[in-house]
Amino acid sequence: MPRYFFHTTNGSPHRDEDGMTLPDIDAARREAIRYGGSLLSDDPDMVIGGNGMRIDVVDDAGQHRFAFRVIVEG
Amino acid sequence: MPNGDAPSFEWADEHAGRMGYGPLSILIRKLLNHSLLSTSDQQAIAGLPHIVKRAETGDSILREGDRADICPVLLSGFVYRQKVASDGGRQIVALKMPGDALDFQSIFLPTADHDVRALTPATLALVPLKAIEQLTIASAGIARAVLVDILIESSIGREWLLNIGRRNALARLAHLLCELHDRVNEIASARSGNFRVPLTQEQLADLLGLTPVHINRMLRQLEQMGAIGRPSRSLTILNFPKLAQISSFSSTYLHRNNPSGV
Repeated sequence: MPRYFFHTTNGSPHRDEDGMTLPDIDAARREAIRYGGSLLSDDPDMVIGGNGMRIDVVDDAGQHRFAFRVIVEG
Repeated sequence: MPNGDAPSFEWADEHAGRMGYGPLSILIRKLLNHSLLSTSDQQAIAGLPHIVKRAETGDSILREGDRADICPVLLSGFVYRQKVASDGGRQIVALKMPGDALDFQSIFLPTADHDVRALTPATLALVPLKAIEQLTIASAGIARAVLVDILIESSIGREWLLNIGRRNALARLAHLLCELHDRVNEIASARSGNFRVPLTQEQLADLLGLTPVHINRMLRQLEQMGAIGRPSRSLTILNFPKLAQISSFSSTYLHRNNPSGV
């Protein structure tokens, strides 16, 4: 199974050194969204008054696969 | 964090030798943690008929819907209770340690409402429920100890509900680790030293209602704080006071040294 790394920036910066093996990119997408939801649930303030929250998912070849962003408008 | 190999919890044999009560002495010791039992009550429990059985990691010990006629007593290893949602999502709802009786409930509620599985290789003493029921009828002290045991498990369940519902991820994980530390110490005293937590990141996620990536990040954070160690991808508790501080841990809900055990 491929390994994906979930790096967060903005509201809750963290570089994921371990990564997580998941069946495919769809599973990685779901994991990123749930993970983001969980981070937001812990600390809603992280997206207020800044650039929101961003999770960048990189595969084990170092390829950027997608980003999950949450921003508050207004 | 591989958990295929058993943590070195072979306390059952040690207690068996020391107390002269055979394999079930570990159950007696567990009950004595919260209830007083007369010598004759202890002898009656030690004399319960049982057969000893081995379970491997992942083995099913009880399935939802089963009608049990035996109560397994965990002599060594760890097991967990789980409930599974219709979409396959799993919630680990309890962890059981050596000395724990796994199914006192079925004395009173015969249909299992959850699954019990082996978290590590485990040794079980299978005791006929009828025999336990008869002891509870014959002895008020034993009936009380069984009741208190069930009450404490539900107290732990309430704490887990608070943990999952209202604590942030770091405190949630730290709180669980504090509980495991205390519960292991209760049975293993100083021997637990650097107790190795036999849970994978996926299992921690299923227990704490977090995603595996979030669990991994929180483990990293606890490691950087010096609270835990992660030698060769396992998990050991290094600094209990730190974990207790992070999670505002109070062991009241574990009801140890319950004073009214008469």
